[in-house]
Amino acid sequence: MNAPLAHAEPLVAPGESARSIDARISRVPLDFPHPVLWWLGFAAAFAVVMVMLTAITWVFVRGVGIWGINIPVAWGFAITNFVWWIGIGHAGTFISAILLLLHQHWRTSINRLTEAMTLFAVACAAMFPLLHLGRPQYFYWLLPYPDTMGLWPQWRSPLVWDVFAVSTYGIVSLVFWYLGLVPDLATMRDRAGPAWKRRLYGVFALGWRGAAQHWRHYERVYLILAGLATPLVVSVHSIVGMDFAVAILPGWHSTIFPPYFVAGAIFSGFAMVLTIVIPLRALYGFKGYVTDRHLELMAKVLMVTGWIVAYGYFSEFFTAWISGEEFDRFMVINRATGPYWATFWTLITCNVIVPQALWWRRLRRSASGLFVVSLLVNVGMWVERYVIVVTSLHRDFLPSSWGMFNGTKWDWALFIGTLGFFSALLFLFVRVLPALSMTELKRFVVTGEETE
Amino acid sequence: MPPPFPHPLLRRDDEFAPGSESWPEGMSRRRFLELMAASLALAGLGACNRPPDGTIVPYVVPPDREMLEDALYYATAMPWDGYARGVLARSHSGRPTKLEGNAVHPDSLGATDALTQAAVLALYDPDRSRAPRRGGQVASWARFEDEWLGVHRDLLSRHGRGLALLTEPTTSPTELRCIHALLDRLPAARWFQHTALARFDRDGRQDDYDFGRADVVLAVEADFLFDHPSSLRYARAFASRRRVEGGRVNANRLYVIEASPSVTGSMADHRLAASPAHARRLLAALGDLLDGNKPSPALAHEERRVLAALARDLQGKAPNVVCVAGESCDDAVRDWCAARNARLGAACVTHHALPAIRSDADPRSAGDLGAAVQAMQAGGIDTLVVVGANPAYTAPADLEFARAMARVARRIHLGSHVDETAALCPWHLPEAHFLEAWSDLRAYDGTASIVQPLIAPLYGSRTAAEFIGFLAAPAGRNGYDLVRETWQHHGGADFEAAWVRWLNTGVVDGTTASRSKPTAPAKAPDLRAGASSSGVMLTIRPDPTVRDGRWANNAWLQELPKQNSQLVWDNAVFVSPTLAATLQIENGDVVQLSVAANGRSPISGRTEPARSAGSTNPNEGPTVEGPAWIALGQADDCVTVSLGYGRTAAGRVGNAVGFDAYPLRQSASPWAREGVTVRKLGRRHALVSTQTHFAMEGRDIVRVALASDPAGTAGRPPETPPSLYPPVEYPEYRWGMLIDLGACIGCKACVAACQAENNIPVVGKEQVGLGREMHWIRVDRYHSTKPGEPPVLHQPVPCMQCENAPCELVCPVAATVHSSEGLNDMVYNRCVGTRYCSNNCPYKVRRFNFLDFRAPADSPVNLQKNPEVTVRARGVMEKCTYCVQRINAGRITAEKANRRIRDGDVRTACQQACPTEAIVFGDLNDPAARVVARKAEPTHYALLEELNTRPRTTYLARTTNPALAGANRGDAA
Amino acid sequence: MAEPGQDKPSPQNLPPLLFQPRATSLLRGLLAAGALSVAGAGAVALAYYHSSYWNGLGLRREQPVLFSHRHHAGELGIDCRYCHATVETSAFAGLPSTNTCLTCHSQIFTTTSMLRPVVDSAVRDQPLVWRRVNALPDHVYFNHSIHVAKGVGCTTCHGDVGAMPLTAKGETLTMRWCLDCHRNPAPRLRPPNEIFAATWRPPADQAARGAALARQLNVHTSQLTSCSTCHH
Repeated sequence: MNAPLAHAEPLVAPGESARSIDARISRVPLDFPHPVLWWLGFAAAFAVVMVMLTAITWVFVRGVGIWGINIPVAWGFAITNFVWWIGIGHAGTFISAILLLLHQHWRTSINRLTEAMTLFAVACAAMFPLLHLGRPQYFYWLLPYPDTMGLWPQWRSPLVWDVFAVSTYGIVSLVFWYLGLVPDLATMRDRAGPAWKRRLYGVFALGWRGAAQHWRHYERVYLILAGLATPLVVSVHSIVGMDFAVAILPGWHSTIFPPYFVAGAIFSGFAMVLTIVIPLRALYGFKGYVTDRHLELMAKVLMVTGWIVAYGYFSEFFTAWISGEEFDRFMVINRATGPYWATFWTLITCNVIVPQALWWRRLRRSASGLFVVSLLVNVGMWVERYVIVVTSLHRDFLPSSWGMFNGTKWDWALFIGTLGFFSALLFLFVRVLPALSMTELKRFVVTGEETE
Repeated sequence: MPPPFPHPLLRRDDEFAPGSESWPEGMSRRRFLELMAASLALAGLGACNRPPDGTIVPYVVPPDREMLEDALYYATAMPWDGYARGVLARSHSGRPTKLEGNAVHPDSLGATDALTQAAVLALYDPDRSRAPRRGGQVASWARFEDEWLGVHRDLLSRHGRGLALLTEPTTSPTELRCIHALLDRLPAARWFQHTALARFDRDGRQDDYDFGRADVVLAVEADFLFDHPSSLRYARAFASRRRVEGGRVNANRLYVIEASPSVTGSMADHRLAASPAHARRLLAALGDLLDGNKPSPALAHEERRVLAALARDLQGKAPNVVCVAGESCDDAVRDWCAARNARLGAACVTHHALPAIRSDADPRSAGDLGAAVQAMQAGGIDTLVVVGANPAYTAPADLEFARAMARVARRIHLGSHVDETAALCPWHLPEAHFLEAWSDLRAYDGTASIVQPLIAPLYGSRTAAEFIGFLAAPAGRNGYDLVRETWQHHGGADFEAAWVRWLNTGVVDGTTASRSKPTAPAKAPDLRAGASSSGVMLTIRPDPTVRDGRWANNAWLQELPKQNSQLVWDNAVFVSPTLAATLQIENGDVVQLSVAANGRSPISGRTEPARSAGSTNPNEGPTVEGPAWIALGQADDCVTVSLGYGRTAAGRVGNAVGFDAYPLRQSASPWAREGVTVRKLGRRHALVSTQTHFAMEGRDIVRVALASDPAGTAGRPPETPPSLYPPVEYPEYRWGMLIDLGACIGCKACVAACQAENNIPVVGKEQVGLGREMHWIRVDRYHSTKPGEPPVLHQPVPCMQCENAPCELVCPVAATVHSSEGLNDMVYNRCVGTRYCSNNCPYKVRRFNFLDFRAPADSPVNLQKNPEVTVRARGVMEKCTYCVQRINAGRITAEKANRRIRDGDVRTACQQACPTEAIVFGDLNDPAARVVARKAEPTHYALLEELNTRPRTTYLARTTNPALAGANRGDAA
Repeated sequence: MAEPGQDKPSPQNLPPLLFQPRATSLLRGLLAAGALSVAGAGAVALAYYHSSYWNGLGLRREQPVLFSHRHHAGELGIDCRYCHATVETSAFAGLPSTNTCLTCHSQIFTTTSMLRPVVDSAVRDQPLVWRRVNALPDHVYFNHSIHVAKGVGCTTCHGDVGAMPLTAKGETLTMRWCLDCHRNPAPRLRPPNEIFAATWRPPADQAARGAALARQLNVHTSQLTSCSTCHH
């Protein structure tokens, strides 16, 4: 890896040394600071996980009829949540793969965390395609295998593409994340006190000794994986976008969807990174590694992707208008002024108006300010998916079959439950693994002796 | 007699392995098992097909060979207001599973209505009375017979004095014979008749009409297309004048004057919404116009225009014109119409008279319920036998039947349910359903039919004739002998041969009554008298689905969207938009209807007693509370309620549904009241309708063609847009359907027929409210505000069987795919329930089992299930398949004979039921097929054609024939 | 320790060994085994669900009567239709009523213990309760009459019944198996007079004969593979 650019504001606060980095980061899992706070947070998250399990059990017992879905609105929260979580999962590979290839060194201090976040988000997302099935016990019919019926999946259906897109994405992200962890696991092994801990970390460190040969292999594989992962960043959400774009429904049938879904994904992904990293760095004193400059850079990404999303919205309205197609025109007017107008204007506010505040440098560098913005964007992106799914369906071609959709308590229980699941996994992650990549940070220590 | 249980070998009505699906109302243990099952399935063990260790049970002694055949049909007849409606009943290994029309029966002509379709479910109603009851305790027929022997001896000694028999008016010769036999045996006994529904005879005559010949029809409060014993025949005749053939239509013109939207009103070319009182004014004005006098000015501009046109038409087209007054009209109006018909020469051209077929005016009858109540109050009755009727619920409030009945010592009730009347009778006895009974009935025109059973009585019940026969002579004969005895001498020389012929055809030949000249007063009565009403009026109508309440426990009918509102599981107070605005009423607001205590019943100036069952406050007169429904086409000066709801002893389905309107009823004026006050109460009641948006939003959904120039006004017929792909070939058959919106009257018989044929579940009011009704074919109803278009447009929408089906390419597991004959197959057992197909269906005709909607395994309604159609489990998508099971059956028959399927061999359930033949189905590859000819009409169009789905189901435009373009706005007021 | 740029590690400043040298090979072994077992499990499952065991081939069930098709159909050559009477007219082939058995067995073997249940059934008017050998899922609509009318013989689906002392399932009856024939019936079609032959073997020139029969009986394969042909 090449050294950081001299003129740039340091990526690691001055005064930090390789040892101090190791010490500060590895002490979080090893010494378990702020146990009370951690336990409180984890307990809360765990309680919500129980809610999720109840909701899942009840769906299996009674069927998806416990949700608000109906004809015409046959998709509701499940698909909304699926798209939202998958979107959040995108920051991970984007930061690890694309920014790596682009030599954006600032990625180093957040890639570990975002990759973890990606995995957990994908875990949450992957639940929904299964749960929303009327007969989940037959989910495996979506997989190609030589069955006794002589049948195969129906390859024209984007849902089948989803199966492959999402599973590939999940696996690659996992490998990528684990590979990056190996050197750090070795550090943990060497710093851990009790033998069982050292053995445990040791097993996963795969006998890393930091030999030059190890490093050569590591660098090479990491680069190759980054290359492999890059197309996935684009492919996964493009395909999710096609779940809608392939349909003939006004509001779904739109060629802009794949790119605009990808942008939206990165948009929401970065928002979620900020939401997580800001409290984390405050709590565990990582301000030296995730500096205000990092925040500013993420804020900029947020702005750019936000603009792409805004363009997506605009182009939907524009094409509806220029096509002169009555159903499309009705759809956009119905979104803005129909029964669901409130959701539409919420998403415009959160995803288009709020991010404009980031033109203001002070805000870009203010942790608390960014935290608020990131939360709003998270909300906005969820609502966006809700609007796409529900308002397109509830009034389509024949007025006789127009209807309304309202989420039931089980819809909410499952959605909130996955939030709990997500945070519970994050808590466990910071408890047992180094939340930031020590190995990579050490490269940017600015005190005299430069690594490599 | 076939066994009353499904043949074990042909049992096919449970699709999925037990336990692999869940039951909404199961025990907790069951839920646990389901959970286990689900998770096991998730572990991949779901698709278990190791040979099941089932058993297979042959007969000891085989029944007739045909018993093992797949389906058998028997001709019989079902009672409709006492008149016969000829049906062919389908039996699968001894279970009646469906009723279909009998083509040779005059009041069926091969078609059915929704009630007939639902009648088969009534046979399996779990709440049917299953045993005789003494004081509520299960007793036995034997015990009743013993007791009756004593009573009978006693009655004989006093020639039957003190015995009152209360029946519904009937057309059954055998039942009448038994009643007369009773009266012969016990001359002093008295026989009363009661029905809450219409009476069709007046001074010994019944009106009959020939709508095939009428060029101009004026209907005054007459729903002859829907609510009449001959409605199927009338609808067929009427539609024959609406059908575009060879690009032309010899259209009739229908003028309707009515207070509340009805099926007939929805077909009007010009419709005037008017309360009965105002209708008299309109008729009076019309009379003036016809007589060349200057009409009274006090009419709206629109009304004057329409009346002028009507007068012109009546005079211009005479004698092929007819004025029809509904049974709810008072005598003056009916006389007026009769006189006008006579004047216009319609008599014997389009208007005929038939002898009274039903027993209402039978000389030996002692009168109606009023007479019965008087007799009871007078104390002259010590034994009351109620047969079939349910007066405790259906009696007009002012009679206070219950109080009178309490004075009778011995009260006996024969009925299909332990209903409100049974609750007041120490003795209740179960009455047989017509599918398990030997009986006979007459059609409106007198044609008799033998009612033959398809199944042994499920619960040891008896028919009215058997019962009355026993009352007369405790020897007791069975129905079979009684019926044969009745017809013994009609058959001519070879009775047995005739008997078999009658059973096969479903009609007894040579029994049709001859039509004669209708009687008419020399001069039309002056309707100005009594027309001077002010304030809001109330009209009371039988409910379009549950009628007077006798169908209240029929879940199919409760869930069938009402023909006039799309409401389900409720009745409502119909108010006009204008009235609603003035009273600030919205749909679902509970309103209180009260009739002033001294409120004159319309016309006849007599005042009525203030006491009333429903009354909350003695000096205020009767009041009733019910949710309001704002109905387009409702008269502004009139609110309308329907009977049949708010029952307390209908059964688990019908109890506590809707509100009871009987308290507003007066024996003197059963159908209308004056001086009604409507008060909005604070409360709301959730009314559920299957359609919430009635405007077409300017979209090309229902096309309207002017009868004067169908080709010119219907818009362009569908053409096949260019495609990048080579056209798909359908070498064998190409199934297609055509729905003629010109003929469709929106009666929804097709919806009920489809439900019966395809094992479509009932989901209940709550689920329908969530948008989860399961009907495979729906009849959309649009309210058009375009000038020149009828205000109400009906459009039946089944699956369009698109050639480019959007649903097919999004299904991940190929559960919905195209067949080689162009059907859009739906494979329930492959469906995993992503519901993507429904999202992508522009017609939204797909239905999803959001919960387990199947009836519990031990419910008798499962015996109705069609074994040829899979019963869908939870989480599975379903939809119309053009009755593919029938196509397959037809193909197998044809293939075995090594021939092609002929046009008409395969008829879908909806097509079969349709009274107006609006639905045509057939092979588009067969140039001789009727469907091909119909699709060649210039009014042909495809729904949402621009989406290039290439639907196989297409439409003919609605035809309308207004006299004044732009003036046919029924809801103009 | 793991960082680069330190002094060369020497035996002195090494920590005590955390793992024995063989640990590495052990871990590798475990990883390989894991991968293999995943793949193996899949393969086994597939084989199992396609196996004749899972599909119950040759599975005999205990029946109320020790009835031998080999004796009746094979040795005595009684026509299938004598007992399965509705096979040509109805979806269901028909199962002989007790009376059918008694047409002969009121004369012969009347007293044998083997026949006892049949006699009892007649005397007590209680049906014989057989256990199913060939069963299709409830959502499959199979019609015997059309198959025999179109040249599909009994033994094609029920196996060599004439050689079965106790009746067992002759074919897998899986959907894949049905489709094999529905896609290409010719190899299995036989002339109408051979339909009920207990022992029919395709002749050498079956390919030609089958094709001819398919034309003669006009069997349209296009429609035979539509889902709604068997599922509605």
